Amino acid sequence: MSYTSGSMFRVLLTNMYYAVKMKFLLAFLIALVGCEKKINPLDELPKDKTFRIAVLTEPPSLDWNKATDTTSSLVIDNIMEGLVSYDFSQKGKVLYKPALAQSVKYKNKGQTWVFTLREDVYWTDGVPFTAQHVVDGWERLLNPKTASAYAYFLYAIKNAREYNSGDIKDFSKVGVKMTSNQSIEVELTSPRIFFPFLLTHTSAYPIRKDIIEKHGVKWTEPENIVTLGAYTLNQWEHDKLLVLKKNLSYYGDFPGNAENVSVRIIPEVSTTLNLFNIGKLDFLDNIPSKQLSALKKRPEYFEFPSATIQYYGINTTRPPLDNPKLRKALVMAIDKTQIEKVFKGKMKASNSWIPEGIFGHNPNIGLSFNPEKARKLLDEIGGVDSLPTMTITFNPDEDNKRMAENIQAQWRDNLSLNVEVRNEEWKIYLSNLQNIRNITDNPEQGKIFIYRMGWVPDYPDPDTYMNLMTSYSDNNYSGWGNERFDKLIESAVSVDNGSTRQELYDQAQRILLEEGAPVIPLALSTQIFLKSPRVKKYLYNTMSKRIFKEVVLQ
Amino acid sequence: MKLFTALAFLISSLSLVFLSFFNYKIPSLLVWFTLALVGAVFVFYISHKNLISYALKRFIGVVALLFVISSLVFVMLRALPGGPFDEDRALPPEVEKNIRDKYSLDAPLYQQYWMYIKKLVQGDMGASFKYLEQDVSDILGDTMPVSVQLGLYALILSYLLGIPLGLLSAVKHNTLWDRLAMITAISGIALPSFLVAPLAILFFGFYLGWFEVALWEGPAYYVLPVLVLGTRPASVIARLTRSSVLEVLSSDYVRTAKAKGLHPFVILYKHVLKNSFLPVLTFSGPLIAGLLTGSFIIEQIFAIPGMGKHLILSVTNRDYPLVLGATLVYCLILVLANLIVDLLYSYFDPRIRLS
Repeated sequence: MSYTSGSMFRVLLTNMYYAVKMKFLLAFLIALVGCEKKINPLDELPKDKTFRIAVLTEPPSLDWNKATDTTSSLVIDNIMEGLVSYDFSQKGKVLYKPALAQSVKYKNKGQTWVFTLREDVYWTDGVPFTAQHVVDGWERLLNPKTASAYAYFLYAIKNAREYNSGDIKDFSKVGVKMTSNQSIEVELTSPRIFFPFLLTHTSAYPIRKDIIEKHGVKWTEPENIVTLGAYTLNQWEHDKLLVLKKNLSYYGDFPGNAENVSVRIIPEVSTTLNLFNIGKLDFLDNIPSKQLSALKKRPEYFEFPSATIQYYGINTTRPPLDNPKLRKALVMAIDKTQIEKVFKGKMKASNSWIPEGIFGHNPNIGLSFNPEKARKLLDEIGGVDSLPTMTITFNPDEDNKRMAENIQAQWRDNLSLNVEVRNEEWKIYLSNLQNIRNITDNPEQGKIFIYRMGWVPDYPDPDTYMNLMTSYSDNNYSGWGNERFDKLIESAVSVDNGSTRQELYDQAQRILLEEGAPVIPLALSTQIFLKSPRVKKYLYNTMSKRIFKEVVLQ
Repeated sequence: MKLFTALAFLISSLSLVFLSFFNYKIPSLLVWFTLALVGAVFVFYISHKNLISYALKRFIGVVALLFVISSLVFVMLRALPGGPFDEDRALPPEVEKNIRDKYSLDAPLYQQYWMYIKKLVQGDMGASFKYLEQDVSDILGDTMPVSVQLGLYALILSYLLGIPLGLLSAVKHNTLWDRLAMITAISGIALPSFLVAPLAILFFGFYLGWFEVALWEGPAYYVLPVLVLGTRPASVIARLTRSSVLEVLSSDYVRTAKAKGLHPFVILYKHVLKNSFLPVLTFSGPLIAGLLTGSFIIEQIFAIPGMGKHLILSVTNRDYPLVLGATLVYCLILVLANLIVDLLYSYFDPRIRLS
């Protein structure tokens, strides 16, 4: 554009003259005025019947055969159900109760299980639920082509492992038999008294093969998915929000009144706190640790114990930590009440491996704080000066760092032992942990002395904790193994007499904590919530399950 | 014709900005119209200035660059310790093998690379390893429009704020105005967004209650993140504008213009501003790419569902296809923005010859 005149005003006028002449541009503008406003799905939900929560990540998968993380299971557990579900009605322990199955019976000490299914259950598309859907689900979970990470949940079933590894191609050889349209008989490799608990996990839920074949990988989108739980998946705006709505054809009880649940995806915990403070969220279960002491004073604050244990593992393949005396000295030099103080209620001190609230817990087992004895043990093996500098390794996290620094200080004060603390990026940390066990003369092995880990129970049975430390467990990074321990754990799974079973686990825990000491149980994580006053009833449970159908709003 | 095009562009792009800002559904016709217009102008501009062979050469360079970058990222990712499916629960070997087979992680590296490149050429970036039911293109398609929206507003804000501020302090050189403007600009550069954002939330969100503290749902939600994201580039632009305007103001032709008796206003806007825009233009290339592909910190603090987090977290998750996809998109925007900037040089300063 070239203007020769100096008057900007005239230029402007000419422009406007041209603009008026551009009739089609005007028409264009008029068309724009008629544009529709975007509708926010949350504005359409009645506020008094909507429970509003937040999660930290987009659910990685709503395909329940494949999902492995807590965010995905939070959603799946509310739109789907398994043959049995958790029964939290009794204090101090978790039982199972029939869900899709109306009765559960076992034979041969728990090697054969018979499930009789309900006949009044319908999927959201009106198709009646049958035993075939359960078998389909298990076949798909175990099928090597599905490549499900949690396929091993069903390895207890006869030939399941072989089918999953591809050694057996014929699923009829796997110990799952449909005896009628409404009943299933399962044969296990060996008796397992807690087998029904495995079926509370999302990966073992029934599926609709026809739906998956029809829509392919996109079958979990709200317009395709077919479910049978208390809620339906109404909307899923990826990376932003999910909306669940009450399933009107749900077969079970719906004691609460939260007909809609909005699940916002908000990765930053302090942002969720801001939104809670301005009343846009009703419930928070992730709380920034730094603000804990301030939040504790608020009436919205609630605590509930969990069955998640926090522990330090010791690389027992590496001198000087191959000496159990040193390991025991390290355990006895930790005063766990200090941990409680540092974490202000977020952690509950624990000496035992099987936590409180789970069958088999025994508060009298485990090494307690005894600095004199610890120093004596240390002197027996040559004193502090004979030890190299050791390291506590953890993955980057505010709480992990605080814990490591606290233990570091305690060992310095109680044993005059100086250790270093180091954090490693999560995936690097995991690969270093695997190196402890996988390659015996790997120089990388030396990277870990003492490592941090936690264990969220897969099922509320002592086996989930104790199996973790068997010599063949994939999760036992310590390199420690004990034949007597392994035998005790194997025999305990088939004992249905309470006191005999308790005795077996007591013996095993003594071997683990008082003889071998490859792990240092530190604390149980406490579940911490902020709950708005408009939520009149929310049922907490030790398994950290979020059950929306029981929520009562004002 | 020129005038008509300019007006059409102005109206369509402004209406795009306003419609998206006030949460109206954007007619796809409008988007295509604007893009076609910009494309047409560029084609016309390129042919008019005899830049066809230059643009073609650069374009081939872009393709080659993208290929090199995707190869480099591919190799570097595999060299990182830890795999995409390592989690805190170790898996039995059978399960691990099934997963590795499904994603061909055990195939020789060159085979994996060949498969990846073959698919990429067909426009398929593969499925995410972390978000099992979503393709990389789904994820980027869901999140990128949000980042572009946020980035665009911040970009507009930074020009609208930065250039006048720079002009002001250059014209009122060495006065109180100059000092004030430059103090503002320097603090805008020096204060990190993770500090400014919470302060802005506290003051404007909680204390004054003017704007929403987080989320991305309408004009009241857009203000704070755009403000925080736009401050830093605005400050840089202000400083660049100031120094280059000062330089141009002391040149001979400005003196001539003054001697001719031109109004200072006309000198400033017609003769000085266009010529002193070059440094800002240079800065614009990386700025546009950075803003449009999302800011991790701002998106995190304000819970904005953009693609910034995927640029960072996909590496943490070792989600190979998503890392590659996000990097490629970032690079594509960066090189395109730089290409456009280079082509525009000769518009702002006809002495510059591109060849």
